[in-house]
Amino acid sequence: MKQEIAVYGKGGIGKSTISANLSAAMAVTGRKVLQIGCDPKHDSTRLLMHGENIQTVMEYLKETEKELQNPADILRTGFMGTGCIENGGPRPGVGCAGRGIISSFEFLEKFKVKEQYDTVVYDVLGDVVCGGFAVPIRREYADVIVLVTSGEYMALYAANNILRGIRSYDGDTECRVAGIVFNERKLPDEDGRVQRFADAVGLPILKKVPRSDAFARAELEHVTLQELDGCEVEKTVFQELAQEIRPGMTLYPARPLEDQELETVVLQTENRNEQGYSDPERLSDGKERSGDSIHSCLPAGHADEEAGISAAAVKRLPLYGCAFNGAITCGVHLTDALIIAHSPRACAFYTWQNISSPGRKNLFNRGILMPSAIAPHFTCTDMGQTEAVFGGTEKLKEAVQAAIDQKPGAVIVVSSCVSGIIGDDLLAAEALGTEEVPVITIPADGDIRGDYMEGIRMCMHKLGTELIDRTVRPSGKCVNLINEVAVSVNHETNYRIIRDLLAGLGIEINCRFLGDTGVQELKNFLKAPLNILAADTQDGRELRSWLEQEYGCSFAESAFPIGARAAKQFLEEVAAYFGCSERVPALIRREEEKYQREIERLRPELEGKRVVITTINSNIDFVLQAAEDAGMEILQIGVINYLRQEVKVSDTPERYNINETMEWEKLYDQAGDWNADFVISNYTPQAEDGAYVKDSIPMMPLAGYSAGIDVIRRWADLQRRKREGAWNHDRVYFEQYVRN
Amino acid sequence: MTEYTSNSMSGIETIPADSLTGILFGVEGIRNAIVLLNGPMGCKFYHSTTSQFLMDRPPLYLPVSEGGKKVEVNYNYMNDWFFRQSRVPCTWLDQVDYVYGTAEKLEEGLRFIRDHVEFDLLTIVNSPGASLIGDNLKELADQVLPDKRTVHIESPGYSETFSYGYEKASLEVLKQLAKEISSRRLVRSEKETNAEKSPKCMSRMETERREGGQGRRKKVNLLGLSIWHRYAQGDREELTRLLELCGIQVNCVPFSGCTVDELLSITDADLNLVIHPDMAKETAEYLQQEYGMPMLLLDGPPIGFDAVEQLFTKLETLLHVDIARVIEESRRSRGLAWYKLNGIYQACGLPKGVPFAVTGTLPQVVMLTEFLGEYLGMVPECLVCETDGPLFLKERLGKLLIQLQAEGADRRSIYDSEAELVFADANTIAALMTRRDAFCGIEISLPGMGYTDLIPKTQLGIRGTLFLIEQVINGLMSRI
Repeated sequence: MKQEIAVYGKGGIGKSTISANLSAAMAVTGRKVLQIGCDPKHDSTRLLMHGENIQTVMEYLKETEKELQNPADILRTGFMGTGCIENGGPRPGVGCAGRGIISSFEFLEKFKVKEQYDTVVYDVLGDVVCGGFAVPIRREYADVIVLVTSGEYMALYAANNILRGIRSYDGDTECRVAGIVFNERKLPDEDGRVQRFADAVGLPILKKVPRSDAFARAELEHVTLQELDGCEVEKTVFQELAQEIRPGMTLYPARPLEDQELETVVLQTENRNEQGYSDPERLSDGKERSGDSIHSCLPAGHADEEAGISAAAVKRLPLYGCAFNGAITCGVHLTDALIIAHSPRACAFYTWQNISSPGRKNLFNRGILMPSAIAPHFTCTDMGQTEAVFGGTEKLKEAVQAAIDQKPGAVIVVSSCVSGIIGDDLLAAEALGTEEVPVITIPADGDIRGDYMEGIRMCMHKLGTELIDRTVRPSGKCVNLINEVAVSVNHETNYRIIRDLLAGLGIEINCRFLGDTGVQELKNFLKAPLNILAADTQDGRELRSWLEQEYGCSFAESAFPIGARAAKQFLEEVAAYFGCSERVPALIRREEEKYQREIERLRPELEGKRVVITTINSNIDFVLQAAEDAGMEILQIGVINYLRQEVKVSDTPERYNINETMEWEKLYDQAGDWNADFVISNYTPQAEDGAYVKDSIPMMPLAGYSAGIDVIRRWADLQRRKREGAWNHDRVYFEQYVRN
Repeated sequence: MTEYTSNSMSGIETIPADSLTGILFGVEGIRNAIVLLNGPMGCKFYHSTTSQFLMDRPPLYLPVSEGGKKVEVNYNYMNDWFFRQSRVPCTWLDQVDYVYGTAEKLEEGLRFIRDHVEFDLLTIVNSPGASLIGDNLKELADQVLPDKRTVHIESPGYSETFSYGYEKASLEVLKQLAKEISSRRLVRSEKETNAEKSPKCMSRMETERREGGQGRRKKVNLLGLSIWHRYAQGDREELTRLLELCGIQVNCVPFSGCTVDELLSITDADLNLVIHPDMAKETAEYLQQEYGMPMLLLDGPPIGFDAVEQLFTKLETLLHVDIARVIEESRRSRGLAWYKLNGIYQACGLPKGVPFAVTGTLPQVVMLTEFLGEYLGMVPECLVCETDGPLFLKERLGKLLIQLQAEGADRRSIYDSEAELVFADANTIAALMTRRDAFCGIEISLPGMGYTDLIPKTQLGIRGTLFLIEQVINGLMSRI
């Protein structure tokens, strides 16, 4: 009967020595043993291999092409036919050792390496620091778990943590723990400490391994005790242990102690602070505890931020998208910069799709070529398994150097979840930058630093901080456009509308922060005396506040105007600032005449019509104004407020009946109650012919005078054409022939 | 073009889909399955939107019926886990989950799906970030959904190819459902043994004999098709149609529109026909090893009349079927193609000598180049293989380039190409348009430009070959 044994213990406690001697003793009894070392320092099988260092699985996978991989290359035969494998892993401080174990096990499973053995011994690093190191205790691996400890407090603390890890898999009842192997250190009260711990967690001490110079001698001769002369007592300990750990042996559930209980049991002291609470980070002797608590795999900064947060205790809001995606989507608009996504290709792929989707559609449907959306200057380090395990800093540095060699205006590096979790050193990449080609790093770490909008914010701040030249002084009649929404299909069209309006006043665009702008333009950012926000959103306001405080920038009160009233205010304000108000009346008159002509044309059809609107939480004054100018009646504005922000659908909310807690599902029930002529919502289910006219408000409306007119013109068109289209009646055929 | 400002920088190429997308779209190719992505929402949106677009499928239903009638789930209102999208719910991992593990949230998500959506199979897939944490997906699925069919994929691969991910998903699903597949195979085998003894069933077998010509009607599985192929539905339909012409029934098209039930009955087929070897070679080998199923491994998808006829000639030998109707249709189509091509050739000497470029998988590049080069007399100017492949196929491509006097075409960057026709995905075609405009792009893989096909199209089989010729002719129209 096959038996898989996981030997767990604190680092340095001697578990590799015990594992190797256990394997050797089992082999002597005729068992066919495979020992798998799961410690990155890869010395588990050294004694079985008579001192030979064997190639680790992770090194092998790193260096060998997939087609050429063969398990025989990493499976070596040691003492008495014992199979020896070392998983290996990264050097300390880089990569993800836990992932190394997972990858290595997948390789061994793929090639069915374990099948030729009846006993597998996993020698696993000290503590259950993360899920990767817990893999050997999963049910598909270990049948039996052995804890190795001495009487040192930290060793017992680690043993207790391992029991916690086991219990998270097995619960209170399942039995897989064989017991404790007590590796003696000759400490005061050591027997008592270990015995008390064993009693408290309900486990037997399987064997006490006496402190002996035999181990040092065996180490020197690179052999296990079974091959060493003059150590019969020690040899017998392992032979008996090998006899004891056999299929069918009695196993126990994992019942770990609470931290305070552990201290009380092991140290027999009460360690309380002034408030009477136990301080788990401080031992009774006043020394600080280190090393053995369950670790975060995130770099120190992240872990600090998380101090004291319990996953269970915090009800978090979902993060929509990731900062990585937002930062790159924003950064590609610095047109002569080159962006490097430090990530697996997956992350870069869907970011590319996110950027290029409007580009492809505009090209295909309208023949509009948007270079930064179609061919963004954006590449990826293609982090592979090797980088995930051993760290990806070197690969990143190579990619950055290659990018610098192309002499772009700047190189921008954005980090993903994977590079963030394994703690790759972005600053090492930043240090490669030169005066001509600065390297700017954005540690988005996927969504670890926040959502999509946070990524845009990070990108803006970092690019601004690194590139804006503080010595440049305002001059001339020009403006900066701030925070244009990069992914909108209207992005480019709106820019052109604003550019043309400003040109009518004789004002030029200095820099678009950030939309298809060069590095030099961003460096000259402060040349523009006035800045204009593209949208008066929370993110836009935050960016404005930052630019005001950091650079003393002046801002127009108006954002990109949407609708007639806003456009008029916008032109008046900007013209007044630049002292060219004399140009405004003619410009406004021309636009207003167009607006009024259109309103008068639509009024006969829309006057007196009743409208119910359901909208996301964005300002819709441009629609409301046009609708009211055409004589329509706004019955209710329902707000779908997913992000639970302050409701701001109108600058004059007192004029409307606003339902701030609108439930989308009830909209169409209410529409009948209101006897509405128009139901305007972003979700349009099927309705009966002629009940009311349905339409939606554009998520990204066009800027300028005609935004509201464009919307109500469509309403009038839809009203005129009451017929919904005969296809509406064919649902029955869909149900009958297509659906299932 | 309304506006053009060149911002091209050398060395930047488009970024193709990788193994995570391969896995997700592999399992999304099962009709009544749910894929739960254990990952951040950043990984979800693209896959949810695209999967919804790629395959028509039944709506989501509540797990309990009302008065015997299924109740549809309106995902537009389902903001938890699904985030108002019908496909690929996710656990929206954030910083806290990376520190404390994903188990708690995953468990909650599984409970939600269990209680709100009916499904035949639930697959949990880790994102690359989640795969570093090492949570035990199987354990959680077994705890929360002990009575449901679940599959878990813990390692999505890091920057591996799409086909690697697709094949990994295929193998994991088949291996994790192996018990059920085997038991169904056993039941069927027992039934057939009994049926052969029962006179009542003789009439069914007699019918099959009549339909198939010689004995029981032959069945095949079509392996390697994916919803991520540019013309997935059309490919399925065309291949099924041609096989039907020979009396061969398609048993299952795994991971491209099949149901769980069809997948569990995959061993009913007499042959696994591997259309895209880069996507399903290992799967076919696994089915052969595990269930003794024979396979026919194509070098690449059947593009061009010759390739189609060769495929059916092999099927004639292997399955003893009558392929006369397919050969006849192929010849009729060759005639039609000749008429159109001859008219153009008479007028302007085209399409002979037209330089073309292809970007695609190695099998796709080989098969397309053979067809365009040998049948249409065009010249490969630039061939980019996005994936590696077996040596024999590389050698075949090398020999082909020598025959077509186009050595070196496989060493040119697509961005240096001056080909008149570019066969590629829309990202590549669009990116090329920022650099030059005197070419016609023909989509052969996804992502596309955004064209929605209501009439299923294909570039495989006989109709697919005609469609390709049609695209070539129209692509050269400005010169005709």
